[in-house]
Amino acid sequence: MDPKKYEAEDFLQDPSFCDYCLGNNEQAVNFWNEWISLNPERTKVIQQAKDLYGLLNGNHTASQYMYDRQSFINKINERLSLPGYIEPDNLNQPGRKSSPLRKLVLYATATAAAFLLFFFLTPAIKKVLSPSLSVSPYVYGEDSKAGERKSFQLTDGTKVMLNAGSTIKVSKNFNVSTREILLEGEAFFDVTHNAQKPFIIHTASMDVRVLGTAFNIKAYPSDKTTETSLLRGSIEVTVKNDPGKVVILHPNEKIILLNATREEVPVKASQKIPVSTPVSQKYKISGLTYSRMDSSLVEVSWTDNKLVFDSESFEDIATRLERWYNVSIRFENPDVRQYRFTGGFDKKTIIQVLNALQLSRRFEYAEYETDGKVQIIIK
Amino acid sequence: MLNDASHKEIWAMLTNGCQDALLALYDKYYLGLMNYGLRLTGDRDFTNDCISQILLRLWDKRGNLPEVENPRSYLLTCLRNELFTERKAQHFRLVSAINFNQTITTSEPSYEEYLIQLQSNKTLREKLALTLQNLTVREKELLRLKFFENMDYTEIAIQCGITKRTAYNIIHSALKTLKAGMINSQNIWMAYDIAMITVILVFISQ
Repeated sequence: MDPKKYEAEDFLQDPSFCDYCLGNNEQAVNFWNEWISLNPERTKVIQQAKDLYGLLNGNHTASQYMYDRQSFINKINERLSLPGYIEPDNLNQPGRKSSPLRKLVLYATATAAAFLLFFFLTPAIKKVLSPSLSVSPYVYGEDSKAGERKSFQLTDGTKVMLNAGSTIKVSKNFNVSTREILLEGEAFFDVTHNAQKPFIIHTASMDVRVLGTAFNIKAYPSDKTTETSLLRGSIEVTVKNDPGKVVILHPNEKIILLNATREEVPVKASQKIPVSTPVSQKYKISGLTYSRMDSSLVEVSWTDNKLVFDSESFEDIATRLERWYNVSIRFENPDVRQYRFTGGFDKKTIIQVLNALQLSRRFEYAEYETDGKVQIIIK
Repeated sequence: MLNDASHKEIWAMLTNGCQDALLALYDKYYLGLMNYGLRLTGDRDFTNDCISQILLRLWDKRGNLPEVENPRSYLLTCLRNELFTERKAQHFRLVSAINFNQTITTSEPSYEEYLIQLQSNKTLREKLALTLQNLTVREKELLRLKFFENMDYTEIAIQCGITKRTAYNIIHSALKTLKAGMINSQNIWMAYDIAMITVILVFISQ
């Protein structure tokens, strides 16, 4: 049958059309885009068919598919960093050939739609604008709950991985002249390079300004310190309660900043402090920490889903365990808080971790559940 | 370019180290795998991560790939295992196994229920529920295989033990019933638009 005579159900029986709706077949997508622009009178029927398809396939759209597919491609590229692997060009998403006719049709429909939209929406817009506008320039981004990590991409291609119990808010004008976000908690960033649009992350105690690079920021409001660790590239850190103080980090360095309420910055013996940097009471710069176990970087081990501590106090470890496993930990014996542990855990349960810690230092624990949340008492 | 290759061909190409085949596998089985994962976990990114993991693992093992009769069910099994292992390691590091099981298995709805759940609009939900009731069990099953699992007619014919022609006909009549039940609501919107425009034009001409 000639597609021009298709009704909605006939489109759906055409595998090529279904592929077009889903977006997983470059030839199909090109073919149908072309066909639709050449046969605009069938637009209504096509839309019916698309709606029905979406209904039946579980609400998947082509854009969602593209996003997921790109994630997969990124993973392939990360994994296969061997010579002679697929050049980025071969992994292009199915493109859209745009013929001049199609462009004309698009412009015409867009203008008509805009005109109609304007007509209907003006009264609505007036109503929304007249009460006081929201002052915050940030729109909600993403957040992760305790015990949860989340990976996603921002609209400029920057990859973000959020650690447990963290929130990111994206500015309304993101990617217009700057790329600004607000972070509470911990996140790892792989920022798309764009010298024209600096990427700026605001936390409570420090602002981090980046051009394109990979780094980790740990800024939990309840922690004693805020830390930024740089893996590659270079970033500029502004210390908020020391205005005018700007520090440039080089790869393999991190900055540890005291949050407003504490007195002293804790320093670990294992870290090297470059001689030339000024050491003030408020912040310190040191090298990144390599785990003695497997020489992975402690600061970003969470992105590999590994829990690593390097001579950390039980108190600090407990906070991390609470976030990582979404449990609640209380110490009955205050001395036990000061125990220090070094260790690495890969895909273990909280009980396995506690049992392993017990092998180094003597303590006891009890575990029970209230309201669906696990509570641990350490004595 | 690899889209029309049969799954056996893609599988063979993978064994021979062709990287395009890896992406072709993703394209071919995405819908079925993603829907499977979503029904079990409701988490899109998590499911996509797991799908990526199992495919990359296949790539790593490409020298020793088993001869598989049905790549689709092979991949579904791999995915199921991956979802469970990753869930255990990642999100729900809880002590009791009972809690963990509940978060994945017991809440699996039927295809029908799942589709209805996905509609955020109450009217659409009711309309869909009503329309689906008018379909036979066989019609719903074939719709699921074709549009939810993304099987082609050959696969469906083999799976259900019917001819491709029969499969085509059953799906065709199911689609017509679906259209009749659902498109009414859209016609209402069309009428609304026309009415609004008419009102405005009348208003302007006053």
